Amino acid sequence: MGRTLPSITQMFMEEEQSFARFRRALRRSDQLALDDLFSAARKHLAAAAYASNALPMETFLLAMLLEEHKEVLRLRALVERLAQSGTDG
Amino acid sequence: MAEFTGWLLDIYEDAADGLALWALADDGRRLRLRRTFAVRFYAAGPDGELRRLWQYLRAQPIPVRLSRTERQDLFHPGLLPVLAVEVPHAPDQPRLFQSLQDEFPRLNFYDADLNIWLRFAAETGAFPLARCRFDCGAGGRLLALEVLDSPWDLDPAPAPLRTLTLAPDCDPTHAEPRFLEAAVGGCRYRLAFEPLRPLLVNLSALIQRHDPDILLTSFGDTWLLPRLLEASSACGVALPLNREFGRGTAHRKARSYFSYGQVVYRGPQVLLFGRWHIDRRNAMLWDDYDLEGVLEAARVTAQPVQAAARTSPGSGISSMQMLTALRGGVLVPWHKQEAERPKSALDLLRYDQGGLVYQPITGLHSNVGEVDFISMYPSIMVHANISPETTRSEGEPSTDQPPGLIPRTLEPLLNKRIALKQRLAEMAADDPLRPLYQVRASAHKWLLVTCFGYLGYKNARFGRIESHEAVTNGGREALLAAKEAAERQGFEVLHLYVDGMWLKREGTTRVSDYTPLLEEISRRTGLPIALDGIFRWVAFLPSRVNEAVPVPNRYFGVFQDGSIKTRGIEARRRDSPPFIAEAQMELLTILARGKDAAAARALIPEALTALRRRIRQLREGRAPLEKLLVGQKLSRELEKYRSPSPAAQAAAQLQAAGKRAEPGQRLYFVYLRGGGVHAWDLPTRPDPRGVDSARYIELLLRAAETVLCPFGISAEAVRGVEPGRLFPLPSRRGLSGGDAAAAGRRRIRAFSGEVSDVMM
Amino acid sequence: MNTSLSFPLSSRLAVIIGDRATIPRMLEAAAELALAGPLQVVDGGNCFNAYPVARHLRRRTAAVHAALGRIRLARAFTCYQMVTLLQNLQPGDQPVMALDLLQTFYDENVRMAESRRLLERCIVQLTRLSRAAPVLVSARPPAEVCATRLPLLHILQEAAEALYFAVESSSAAQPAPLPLPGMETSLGLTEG
Repeated sequence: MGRTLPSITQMFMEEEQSFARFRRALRRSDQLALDDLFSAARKHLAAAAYASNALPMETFLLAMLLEEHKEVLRLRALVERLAQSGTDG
Repeated sequence: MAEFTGWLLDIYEDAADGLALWALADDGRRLRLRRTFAVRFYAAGPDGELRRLWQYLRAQPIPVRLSRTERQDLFHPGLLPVLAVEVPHAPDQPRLFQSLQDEFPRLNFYDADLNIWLRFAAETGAFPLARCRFDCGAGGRLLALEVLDSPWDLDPAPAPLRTLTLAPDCDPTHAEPRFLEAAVGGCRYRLAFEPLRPLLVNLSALIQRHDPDILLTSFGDTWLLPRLLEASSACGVALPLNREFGRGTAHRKARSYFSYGQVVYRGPQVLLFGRWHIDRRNAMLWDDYDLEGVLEAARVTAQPVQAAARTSPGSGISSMQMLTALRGGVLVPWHKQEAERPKSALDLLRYDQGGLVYQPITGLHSNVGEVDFISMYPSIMVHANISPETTRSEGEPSTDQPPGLIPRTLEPLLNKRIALKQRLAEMAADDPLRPLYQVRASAHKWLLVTCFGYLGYKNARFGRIESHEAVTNGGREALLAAKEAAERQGFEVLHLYVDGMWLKREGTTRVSDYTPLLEEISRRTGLPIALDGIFRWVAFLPSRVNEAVPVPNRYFGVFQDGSIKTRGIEARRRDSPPFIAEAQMELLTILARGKDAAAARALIPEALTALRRRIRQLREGRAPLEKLLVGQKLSRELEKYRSPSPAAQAAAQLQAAGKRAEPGQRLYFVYLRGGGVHAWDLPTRPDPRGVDSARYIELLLRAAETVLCPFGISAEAVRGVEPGRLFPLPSRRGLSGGDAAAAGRRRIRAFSGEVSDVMM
Repeated sequence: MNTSLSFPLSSRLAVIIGDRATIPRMLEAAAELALAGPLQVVDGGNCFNAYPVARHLRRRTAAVHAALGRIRLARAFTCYQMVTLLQNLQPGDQPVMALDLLQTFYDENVRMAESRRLLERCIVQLTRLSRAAPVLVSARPPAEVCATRLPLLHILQEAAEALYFAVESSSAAQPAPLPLPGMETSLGLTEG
């Protein structure tokens, strides 16, 4: 008895594919930024599967935000460290 | 003959006596016993139909005893009124049942198509190689049988089995073998195939003199035994392959079938009576099992030895479940009717899922503990009492009910496996009994791995989709409980994969540091869990296509005891040429000498030297052809390929040479220059000068990148070890120029942004 | 309302025959029916993909979960199970949808005579259910490898009170709409 629903990975690829026209019309640099967003969402496929949202794109969008926020936190820490070393030095 | 003790070797239906049995007595005699054996089956359905069945059975010539009674159908509450049909002479039953199938389509039949071993095991408690006390009358009539041991004994008295090994002197698919190599009783014989008559006479004498219990062959199913039997009838020389006098061998044709989402190929089979024929080239999982594994599988599943050597672990589990049912008075349905109970579309979303598979945090990590649930899915079935008759709805364990059929079947197997593992852990590394325990543990592992999938198999008699879903749901909840426990105790969770976790915590480097965590997880989930080991260092790898994307279960690392563990990399893949796999392991073995990640890094120049030597070997054509074999599965019928894969090209070559290539079969070939391949099973060998060494060098470089890139060595640097190369091949990332900068950026992010202790 | 989804909602046995492309259209129909009220689905082809159903619902309502909760689904993996599933359904005012009804009957491990007998039992059940509520059945012709099973499709066609043939669309981008009620002419898929 194979599974009835597509796997979360298949759903992810389907959702990514549904933005193919959007992506194509973006500038090259923006395309790469968009790809980064999808790569970020991909890191949370297990959690997205567990969430079992009927509209998984909602979860993927939140996963993108999550990774963006982590990046903000990382950069903020970096800036604070640099500012610290600036005042120290 | 009177009374004696010994081992039960074989049983089968016998036209004259009902049942023939072979016993190996303590004094070494092989004795043929016989007894009558009655079998029972049942029918249920509308009253009128049952009455008609009664009349029909009364009127036909096979003697039967009929009665109305009540029995338990696992899928229905209460007792089911049935017509019981007892056939006093067991060999009559299959024929009788065959005639009923067309005549009474509206009836449900139970216990109707079971093999004789199962019925006998259910009635007597016997199993293959059981220690028994046999009480015999005149002419070998078995009066009584007492079983003296159990399949769950850890140290059964070993039966002194005699084995005759037979192998042609070469692979008959390549060339016509000239000699038959035989070994028995400590002696080796080399018998010429031509002329045939003396071969048959000598072989026949060997069999008669040594009277082996096992014929252990190479290519016996596919070539050797059919060939010998053909010669035997052509030359008029009797060949006593069977111990049973005057009975022919049983043959089963090859077939391809679809199982668990892939095409599986099963070769033809030649089965014997009174002796076992095992073709080590045709046995399922032979590498893991070995002969002892086959015997252990037969013992615990009560499948005939010849079947246990050839069938999938799924049939073994099925056999065990049916035995539990028969012994517990539960009916075994001929066709399962039970269907899924309706669930909402929301529940489908929640429960139609597999295990949790995380994306690891890629890169190199030090002092990482791997914690695994032991036989997670079977343990969940036992612990949460998951069985078709106990699962009320998905994921809802029913602990208030008595243990169900599936837990009752699995529990002794699970306990035996855990006991064996404990014993192995306490054993000295050079204990001579160690390999024996290991193959037994391996046989159990395969059965336990399969039992979960089998619960969801559509034709499984005691399968049920809700139970299947309850198991994966239990697995997801247990893994998350484990993750939460680990994080509460300050661990960082690097990776989670279905039933395993990879953890690290500053200053946690000893096995005992993990004890509190293991205890908490076990307490919270009720499942057994163990520390598989602590890695000195481990590298989780990103996708080949996109460095920003981590891939689950693709890693390599070195445990504190120096042993290497790899998953998903070239060295593990069954399609990798041995040369590539060995080269990758060579690099890993060099790096594994480093006591920590920094020390491993210092060994990279030595690894590069080894890589250079391997490249030279390939370029100069010094790698043996056998080591360059690529093994790929043929996924479908040859005609269905639009653009033939290398495996399909190989299949086409074999077909042109008059050889068979079935879907599901793994085909071996060598890559040739110009994009072609040469199938290894062709009678001719490829010209070594035509081998596509550039392609193999490319495979080698990729395998080297897999191992070296996590240490901060760039792909370009790996490729740079080959000075002779003028034009670099396209990078494995397959990126065009415009993407290169982005790829660089991603790599930095992947290796520095995410990971706290990267060795850059 | 989308014209391609104007299914006959009268109490009768409607059968839609088409290739695999029919499934997404059936799923859309399931979404539409779930908007209106409870719906029973039996799935013989392991094809009830809830994601497109949810997407379709999202375009029509904010209460996606409530609508999904109104769909009761059970899957059959063997033709024996299909018979059991249909026998267990209670007739009521809820529409019944049987997806890919014949798929399990095309299994070559079950003898043709047995498949035929079981299918006839299924049809008895479908007819029984259609007295009380609309019953919508989809079926695919057998694949080439089991073409001998074609008579099963004919048996189902015979039993239909309304029969539709989904147009096999040549371009995947533009799926053909399911035929409207009344458009009951064969499009040459079978000779009926």
